[in-house]
Amino acid sequence: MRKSIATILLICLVLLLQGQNISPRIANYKIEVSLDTEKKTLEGEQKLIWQNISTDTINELHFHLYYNAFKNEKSTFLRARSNDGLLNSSEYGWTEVLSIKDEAGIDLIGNSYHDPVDDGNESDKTVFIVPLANPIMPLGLASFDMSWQAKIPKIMPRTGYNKDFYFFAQWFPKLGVYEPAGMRYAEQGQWNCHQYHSSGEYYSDFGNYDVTMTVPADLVIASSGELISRKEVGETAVWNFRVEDVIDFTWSCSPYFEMEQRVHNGVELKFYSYPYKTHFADRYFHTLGFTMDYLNDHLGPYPYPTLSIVDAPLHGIFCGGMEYPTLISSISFCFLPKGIRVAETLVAHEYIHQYFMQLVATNETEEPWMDEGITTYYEGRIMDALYEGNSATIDVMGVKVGNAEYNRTEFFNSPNIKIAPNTRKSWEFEDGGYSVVSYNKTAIWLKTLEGLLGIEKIDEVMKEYFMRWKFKHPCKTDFTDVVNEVSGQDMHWFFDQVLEDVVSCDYAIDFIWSYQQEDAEIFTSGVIVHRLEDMQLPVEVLMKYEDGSESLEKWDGKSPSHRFNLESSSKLISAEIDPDRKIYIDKNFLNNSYTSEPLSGMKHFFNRFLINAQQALETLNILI
Amino acid sequence: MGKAVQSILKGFYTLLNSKRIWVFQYFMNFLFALLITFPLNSLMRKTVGNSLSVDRAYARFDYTLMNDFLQNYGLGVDTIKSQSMLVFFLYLLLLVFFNAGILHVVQRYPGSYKFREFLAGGVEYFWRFFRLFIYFLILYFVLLFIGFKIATINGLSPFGLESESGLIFRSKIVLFVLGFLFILLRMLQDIIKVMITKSREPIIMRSIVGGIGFFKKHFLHFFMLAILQLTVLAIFFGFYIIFRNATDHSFKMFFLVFLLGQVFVLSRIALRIWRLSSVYQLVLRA
Repeated sequence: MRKSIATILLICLVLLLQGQNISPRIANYKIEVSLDTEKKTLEGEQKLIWQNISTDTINELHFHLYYNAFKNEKSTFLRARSNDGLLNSSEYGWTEVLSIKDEAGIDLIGNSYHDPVDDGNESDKTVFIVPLANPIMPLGLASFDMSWQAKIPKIMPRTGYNKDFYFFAQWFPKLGVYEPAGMRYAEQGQWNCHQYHSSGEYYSDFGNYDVTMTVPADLVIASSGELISRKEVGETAVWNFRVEDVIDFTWSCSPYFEMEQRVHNGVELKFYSYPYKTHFADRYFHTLGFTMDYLNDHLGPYPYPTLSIVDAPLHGIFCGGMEYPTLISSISFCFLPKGIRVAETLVAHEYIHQYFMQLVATNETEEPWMDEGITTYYEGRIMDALYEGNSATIDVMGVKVGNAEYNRTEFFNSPNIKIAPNTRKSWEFEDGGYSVVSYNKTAIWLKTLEGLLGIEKIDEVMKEYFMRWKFKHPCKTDFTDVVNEVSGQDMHWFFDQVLEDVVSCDYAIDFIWSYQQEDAEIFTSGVIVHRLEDMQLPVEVLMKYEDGSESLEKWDGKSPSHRFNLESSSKLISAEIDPDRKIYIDKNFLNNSYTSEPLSGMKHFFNRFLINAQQALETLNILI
Repeated sequence: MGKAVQSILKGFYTLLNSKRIWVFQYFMNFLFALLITFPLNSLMRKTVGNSLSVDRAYARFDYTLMNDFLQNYGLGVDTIKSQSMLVFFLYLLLLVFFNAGILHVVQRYPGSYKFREFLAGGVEYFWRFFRLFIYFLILYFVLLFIGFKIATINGLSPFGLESESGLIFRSKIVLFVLGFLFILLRMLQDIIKVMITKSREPIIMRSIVGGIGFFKKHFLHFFMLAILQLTVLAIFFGFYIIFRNATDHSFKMFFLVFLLGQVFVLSRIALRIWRLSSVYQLVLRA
């Protein structure tokens, strides 16, 4: 009893101390690293200060050694990508921990080992277990001095070098997350430290980073955090960056980086690009400013003083379109016209990740939809709000494509929309589908949820979800609980279908009729509606009459078909399911309506097809 | 310059006197276009003929509805695409026939332009013109291949390129050069066609060699004619775009859009006759 009281008091004390910071600051790093551009290596010394916030005694530490994913062709990462023929043996990358000493000065490296925790692949060395000589007590604080070296891989997804461009993501030995019993899905205290898979990467604890890089003096560094100092020592330059309350630290460098700096809402924005792409700065800043304001209004403030944007060169394309705390990367092509908004979409998407994954620190490896899906949903909302008239993705010569609709078609054009439920872990998408399920499908069903609850209510839900779970590690049930609580409805029937199941949705109107019996003033009308797929959602059907009147009928959408019997003073001329496109997950909008009136659009299409065919035929003469 | 202007004016006179040939080609174009359009129209009527989305999709470019159509009824579209390829191929052969027929009547029957002779000329020179078409097609592909190789001299792999700007710069230069070469080769092709119908020899190689020599000797005249022809085409095209943009967005403009489209197709056919006859006139005058 006395022990329990002491533990509770200790927890309260730690919580009190942590309460002064915006994040729990569990894993804190002070790193000194030097880059050898000739040998393509990194030499690092790092001090890790780790706070045990659980009441468990910790006997071992689990580290990610991400660069070992590029150590050989048999690693789990490269097996999944079939190596793509990208790396030969001289271009492999790896990390080796040379020593790890605890506070007593005991080097723990001797008992350390690699453990392929997910798939048992012995060739995969991306998880590194370090048994402790002195266990870390409940709520105890421990520090470790580590020295390591790494060979930088030739450019690979998210990291590496190519020519003069370097991008360092997942580059240092990083501690996994210790989950005490009750946290997320943990039934008992456990380390959550997955191997480095081809898809999904983020899950770390919050902490402070103080990173000092020694690099050749001609290199310009773009980095997470604030630049504290830069001084030149001979032919090298020593840069120091610091950032607080983040889950990771990333940096990039090149001798050709040009930096443009602006301030938005007190946040220092730095745009790094190659000289031939500096003209993209305005495009990036315009979209970024709008995105920052939008999320500030809809979710909450961005809590960091800086944000760096790296526009990777073409030969660094694998590192473009990535998201790290206070540093995001994008990709643009110098010839892209303003109407093709790849760069804008990417910068909006990656900035949204500052909220979903970086602040609301979900586990992307296990639940990618909570990271990529929610981000893609907001990407659609923000881009379609910024570029009105469905022109957020493409607006060239009359061809306009909106963001949300682009994501919707990405999903429905995939080979198998039922390939996997949303809850599948990232590495389990062995037959494909990771992207369309995690990104696109989630965005579509979130937009459908928005339609069912209403835009104001979904905004309330998301704001509450963000405020409640920022600087924490929520899981699926934490999200669904917030939805149910804030909406005041039990939405499990919805989540069961969109998250757990693989059903698809298609409602269609089969036929309508309307007639007036002799000597009667009333028209008798009918509409037959079908549910063609398995998903069951409540739908609205808009009836339109000859005299211009309308009525909105409702159906629970559960039975395979439904007949609306109507009586009216005017003839029914059309019926339309879901006229406001609330059910965005419906896979065919064309069969949602039926009209008995002749459609002028049909003859206009015929006209257009005919003239275009004539022109195309005549164009052949150019070759004769 | 004077000879080129005279030739193009004389060519226009020829055009005005060959209305039957002109109208016949227009109707053939219309008929072949219907062979492509009817199946597509019928597919649309059967699948989405009663959907309110059809009117919405016409009112503005609707990516969602277009994709839903292809996703749900795309099999029908694929079939129509395959059929259309056959129609295009047949029309290509017909165009070879038309070119041969036009030059035959222009040369043999100046001022009378008998329709029967147009058909007879088409038959007589068809295979020679077809062979010429194949030779030039091969030449165009070779030039395209060389252009592609020059544009991508540093490779196409994003990981190997220093930046995309070099590739874009080279592509622009190559496109400009290829465009210029294409204009010259088109003119040469037309001159050789005139030579073939003039000589009436079954072997076209002599006509090709003669045509090249003739083109070299009178390059400036033919180049001027090519520029004049392109100017006429650009003016026609400009008018079409202006009128189309002024009308195409309105449902009420159905007949106007239809008429405008037909006038433009008719104009392009007329330009073909005009082009060939003016080349013939310049060959006579050079």
